[in-house]
Order: sequence, then C-alpha cells, then structure tokens
Amino acid sequence: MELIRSAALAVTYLFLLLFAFFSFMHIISIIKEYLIVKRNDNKGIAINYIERTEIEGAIPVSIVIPTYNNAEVICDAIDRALSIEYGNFEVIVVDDGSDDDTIKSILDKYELERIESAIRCTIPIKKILGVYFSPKYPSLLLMSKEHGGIADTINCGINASRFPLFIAIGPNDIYEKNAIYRLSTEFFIDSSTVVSCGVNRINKPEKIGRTGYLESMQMTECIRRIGYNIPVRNSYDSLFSDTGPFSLFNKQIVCDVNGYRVDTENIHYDLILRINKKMLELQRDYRIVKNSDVFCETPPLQSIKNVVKKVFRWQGGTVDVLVAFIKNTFNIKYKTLAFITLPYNLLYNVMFPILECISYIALPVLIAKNWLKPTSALCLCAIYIAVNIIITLGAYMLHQISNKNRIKPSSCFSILLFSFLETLGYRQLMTITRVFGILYHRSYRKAYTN
Amino acid sequence: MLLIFLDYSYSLSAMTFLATCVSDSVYLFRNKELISISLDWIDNCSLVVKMLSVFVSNILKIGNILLVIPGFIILFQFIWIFVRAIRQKNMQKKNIYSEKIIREAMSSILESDGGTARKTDLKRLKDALGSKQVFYDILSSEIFDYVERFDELSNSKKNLVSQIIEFVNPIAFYKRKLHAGDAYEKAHACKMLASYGAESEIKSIEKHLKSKNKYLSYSAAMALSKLGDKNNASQFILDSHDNFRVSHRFIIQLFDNYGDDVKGLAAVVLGECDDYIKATVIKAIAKYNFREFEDIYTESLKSENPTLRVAAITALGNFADAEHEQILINAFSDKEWIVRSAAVKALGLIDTPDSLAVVSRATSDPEWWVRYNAARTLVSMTNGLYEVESILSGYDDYAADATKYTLYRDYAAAIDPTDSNS
Repeated sequence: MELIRSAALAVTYLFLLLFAFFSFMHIISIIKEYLIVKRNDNKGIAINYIERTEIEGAIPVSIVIPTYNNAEVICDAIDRALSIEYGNFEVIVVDDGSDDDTIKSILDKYELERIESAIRCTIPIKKILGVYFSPKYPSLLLMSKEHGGIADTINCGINASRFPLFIAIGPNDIYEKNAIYRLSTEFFIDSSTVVSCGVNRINKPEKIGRTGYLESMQMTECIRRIGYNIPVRNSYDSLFSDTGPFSLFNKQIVCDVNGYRVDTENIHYDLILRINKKMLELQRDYRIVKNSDVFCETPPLQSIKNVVKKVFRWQGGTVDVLVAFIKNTFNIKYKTLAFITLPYNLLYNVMFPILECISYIALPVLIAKNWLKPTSALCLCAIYIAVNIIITLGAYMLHQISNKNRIKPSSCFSILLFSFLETLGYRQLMTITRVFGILYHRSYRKAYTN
Repeated sequence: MLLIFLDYSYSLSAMTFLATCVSDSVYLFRNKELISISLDWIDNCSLVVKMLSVFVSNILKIGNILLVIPGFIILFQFIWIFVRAIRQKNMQKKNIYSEKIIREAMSSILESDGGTARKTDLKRLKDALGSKQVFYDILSSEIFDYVERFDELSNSKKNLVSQIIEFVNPIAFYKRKLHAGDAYEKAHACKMLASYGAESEIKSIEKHLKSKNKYLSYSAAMALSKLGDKNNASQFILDSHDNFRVSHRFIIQLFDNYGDDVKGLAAVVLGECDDYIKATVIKAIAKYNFREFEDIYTESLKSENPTLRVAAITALGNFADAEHEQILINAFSDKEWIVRSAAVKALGLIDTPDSLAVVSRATSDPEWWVRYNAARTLVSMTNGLYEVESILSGYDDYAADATKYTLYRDYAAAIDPTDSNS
C-alpha cells in the first residue's frame, strides 16, 4: 500500500514539476515573442518594398492542392489559389481517387480536358490515372491518381511541378492573397532558405464565442498552442510538431529527401525534420524560417468524434516521427535537432501527456485514501486552472498585438469564458486521446499504410 | 561517490532522490548534524515523498497567496485585452475617417479653381496627415498615381501636384523616419525617398547599406540603385556574395530598378566580380542585348561554373543571331544537363534549319528536363511542327511523351481558346 501511495504521489509531483516547467517556458516564450513582435512591428511595410509581383521578379511557385472527396469545396479552393497576388505560379490539383464528384465538378467548371501526360516521377507515387488541362486556365492542372493518402497525393503534385518552390494547401484552407508572396520573400532575401513556414490555425480567433461551443474550444486550444510554439521555435530553432503545414519548400531539397513520408500522419513535421537532418549531414548552410505573421486558417471540425479522431491520429503520427528520429537524439552531428528539438518534443509530446493522464487517476486515489487533503488537492487544481488561463490569455494578448484590429471588445468576455472552460473537460479529453494516440501509434501506422 | 545535502531547502528534495539513485552514500546536514540516509531505494522513495509532502503542504499554507496572484494576473490580462480592443476599434474608425479626408482633399485641390478653397483644402490635408506614416503612404500613393500619368496632365495640374508636395512636404517626413525610425521604418523611408527622387539623401541612405537587418540593407541598395548611384549599387552587388547570401533574383531586381545606364553599371560589376555574380549579372542584362558584352558571354562559356555557362548561353541566344549558332550547337554537347537545356532554348530563338535539327535531336536526350524543354522549343519554331509529327509517329517513346505533353499543355495555352480555327 505504501508503494502505491509513494508511486501515486511521485507521479503527481512529477507531473506538477513538468507542468511548472512547461508553464514557465510558455510564459517566458510569450514575453519573448511580445518583445520580438514589438520590435518587428513595422516589418510589413519593409516587406512591401520588395516589389516583385511582376513575373520576372517573382520566384515561380507551384501550389499543390491535394483533394479527396472534397467536391463541395474544391472549386472554391481552386478559385482562391488562382486569385493570389503573385507574379508567376501554377496550381496543381491532385485528386487522390475520390469516390464523389470532385473530378467532375472541376472538369465542368474549368472546362478541362484530358491530355497525354509525361510526368517525371522523381518521388515514387501511386499510378497516375489522368492529367487534365484547359488552355483557358493555363496555370491550372488537374491530376487524378490511385488512392494513396495525403502524402502520396502531395508527392504526385511535386512530381508534376515545374517550379523551384512549392506549397501544399488543403482544400478547406483560407489564406490572405499576399500570404505566398510574404513566404517567398524569405527565399528572395536569403538564398540559403530551404523552408519558409507560415502558421496554420483553426479559424480566426476573433470569431470565438460567435461560433459553437466545440468550435470555440478548438480555437482556444489552437491559439494557446500557436502562442507557445511560435516563440519557442523562433527562440531555440526547436521545430515543433505542428511545423510544416502552409510552408513554402525548396522543391529540390524535398526531392532529395524523397518527398513526404507516406506511412505517417504528421507528414509536414516529418519532412521538416528530415530536411534538417539532410542539411546537417551535408554540412550545408541553410535556414528554415518561421513567419509568425503569415496565417492559413482551417475551419474547425464539427463533431467531437472527428476532433478526437484527428487528435488521436495526429498524436500517433507525431510519436511515430519522433520514434523514427530517436536514434539521432544526443548525436553531436545533429546539433540543435539532437539536443533541443528531439528531447524537448519527446518530453512535451510523449512524457507530459502520459504523466498528466496518470495524475488524473492518481489524484482521486490520493484523495479517496486520505493521502492528500481534499483542500490541498482543490488548491492544486485551482492553480493548474489559473496557470492555464494565464497562458491562454497571454497567447491572446500576443495575438492582439501581432494581428492588429482583430479581437473586438465584445469577444473579450467569450475569450475569458472559453479560456476557463477549455481547462475543464476539453483539455482532459484531449490529453486522454493523446495518450491513446501514443499507445496505439504502431497499430495505427499499420492501418494507415494499408 | 559521497554526496552531502543541506536540508534547509525543500527544493533540494528532488535532488536528494536523484542522488540516491546514483551515489553510494548520501548525507543530510540537519540541525548541525550529519545524518546518513539509508540507500535502500524503496525507503529513499518514501523519504523523498515525505519530504515532498512537507514541501507541498508548506506551499499550500501560502496557497491563498498563490491563488490571489494568478487571479490578479488574469484580471490584468483581461483588462489589457479589453482596453486594447476598444482602442483598436476607435483607431480603426479614425483611420478610415482620415483616409477619406486625405483622398477627398487631394481630389478637391486638383479639381478646385484656386483661391481660398484650395488653401483650406491644403490645410485640411496637412491636418489629416498628422504624423502617421500610414497617412503619408496613402498620400504618396495618390501622388505617384498622378506622377505616373504626368504626361497626360495639364500644366496647371502638374503645378498643383508640385504645390501639394511642397506644402505637405512628405520628403521631410520620410527623412525624419530615415534618421529616427526603427530598422523597418528606415527601410520603408529608403523606398519612399527613392520614389520621390530625393538625391540629396544618398549619403544618409548609403549608411544603411551594411546594416545587419537585411530588409534595411536591401532597401538601401534598391533605393540607391533607383536613384542611379552607380558606385554604391555596384559595390553592394560585388560584396553581396560574401556578405549577404543574396539571391540572384534580388540582383536582377536591382538592375531592373536601376536608372538609364544599366550598361554602365553592368560594365563596372562584370569587370571585378567572381563567377557567381557574373552569372547573375549576365542573367539580369541578357534581355537588353548589349553587343558590348558579347565577348564576355563567349568567354564565359569556357568557365567551370555551369550556372555561368547557362547565363552566357541565354544571353547569346537572346541576340537570335545565326552568328552564334555554332557556339550554341557546341554547348549542346555539354556534360551538364542544365547547360544542354539552356542551349536548346537558345537555339530555338535562332530558329534555323540547323538549330531545328539539334533541338529535334534533343527530344531524345537522356535527361527528362532537356527532352521537355526541347519539345517546348520545337513547337514554337518555324517548321517545328513537322519535326513534332515525325517524333510522334516515331519509335522514341520518351521523345513522343515529352512532345505530347508540351503540345497539350504549353502549345494549347498559347493558342487563343476562343479561336475555333486554331
């Protein structure tokens, strides 16, 4: 019995220790980012200087839109991509063997016709079933292929791409017209840039409270994650597990590392880690830039089942990626990647959720057995909730200064309310899901590959 | 290993626990006595847990404070977000209003007949501008719109635009920013001063060429280029490879921004630069077809650097002169596929029967990109379509594939889709 008591207390204290550590890091990161944002307040006006929206000045970009059963939204996604403010680009829509009318809706709207294809398959992909084109839309190309998952679909787009840079954008993603222009600026001003990352977030945070309960919860969680991850990434070059979506890549480098990995979920993070590793092995000068002011918005999921499913898959994918790189941890050759990125992510994405989940069980046991006074337990919970609210509100403060005129006064009360509610129930559900994702990542991977 | 800990701090408890796992003997210094700790792991765990319990209970005694402090922090954060949201909302309204006033005042000044009304409008414009950069930018974009169509404007309107610039004096505002703003504001000021043609500020802009902030150093270089400062622009280009890791597109942009004497700037740079810069400069000036540099282009074909060879081939091809045909045909035998690909494109511009034969042969090149570019070039050449026909009916599947793709995609795009005859 004594052993159980000691174990329960040890787990709880260890969790509190880690919680304190990560909370401290959160708060430090938010303060640091606040200072960076203040310093770079006028960066936007300087970027505008580089007037290269004309064809000659723009580095040509391929926009790859992978799609699978997205008939309802795909045409809007194509319109959005075709209307960006950029000098030289092509849009490659790759259908991953949809069962619905995705292909038909595109063919009808853009009057595309099947053409003979000669795609150079630098990265191995599933069989291409058809390539469609219309002289009316010379910068649009549609490809259909056998079903092979999102990674295989993007790889297909990379193979068809004719330009040195590419970006993969989901059919539901919404972004500003000049977002790609801003991402490409980093390649323009420094030739050693290999990836220029934007920020992928759930909807606009200022909409919080005006949408449903579940949507608001997702937005609150997302803004806290962004508020934390971006400064840490910028400060320590510690590439976080949500890095990669909405990023502009140097195509050649991506081809050199064999494109996206097809048997995992967190494909972007995996790709960025492999690019890092490859560049360190080649001992080449390179930079992966994070643009914390370039956003891409994804609509929130509508049902809790889908949210749980997504978190489960994402966590499984993250663990899968980290496990694949575990042999590189503390290898002096891989510098920051080995000594900060991987250990920190293992601690944050694997150890922390597990401890948090166990302490959910340990705390009631300690109270029931009278090993911890209920008032003490209550006090600990209150501190836990308060610290979480502080971090969430800190992230909102950061958002408020980095995205001018976004949060309206009427939204402030909803922000406070959802910052509180998110720590009661939603966060716990997500943590438990994450733990299941960690435990079943192998079986999930098998299923994904099949 | 012997470890001794002072027990006056509970925070050392966790360290004690770790120490028992790694050392042989651990002592705690408590009440001026050294107490040995048993090394049984389980016992130690209990001890450490006990110590941690004391530690936690002590913290909980001051729990009220710990809860009050976060409460105050949350309240502060909420008030901060709320107040800022209100301020931003008001500012947004004010900005929209001022922007409207600026645009209205501008058009009113240019449309009015003169007299007191114009003076009032000028004053109204100056008041609306205040000291905000965003308003000066709006005004400047309006002014540049008029300057762009300066030739179409009547003399009286030209005078009025000059009067506005004189009265409001945006140049003085950007000068202040150049001296007192942050790095990004300085970068922006460089741009605006160059757009206003403020040659008197060349010295001030020059100081920022070596700034650590890339946006500022690039903006300064671009501004100097726009103002026609040959010495500084050429020096920036020459230094760029070693100091700035600048992309070649930036240098191309710099040339595009340069005033009338692009040839002079190119001559200065080409005389002193290394192969990387030479390749970039040749790419940048290829479209101007400067005959003076033909020898440099031809000489560059002997370089070890494939990028330079590609640039030289592109520049020679742009002349579309049969005189260079043999050089380009020879370049097609290069071991690097990027050079062969460039040669194919260049030969396409020359468009003679000999070139056509080489381009046609290139559709069977071992490298996909060369085949693809050859097919693209072929369909744009005179009599190229006959060659295309024979490739499509021939035995070389690689060549046929590349040609079909080109025919469908690139060639079809070039044809007017509304033209039924095409």
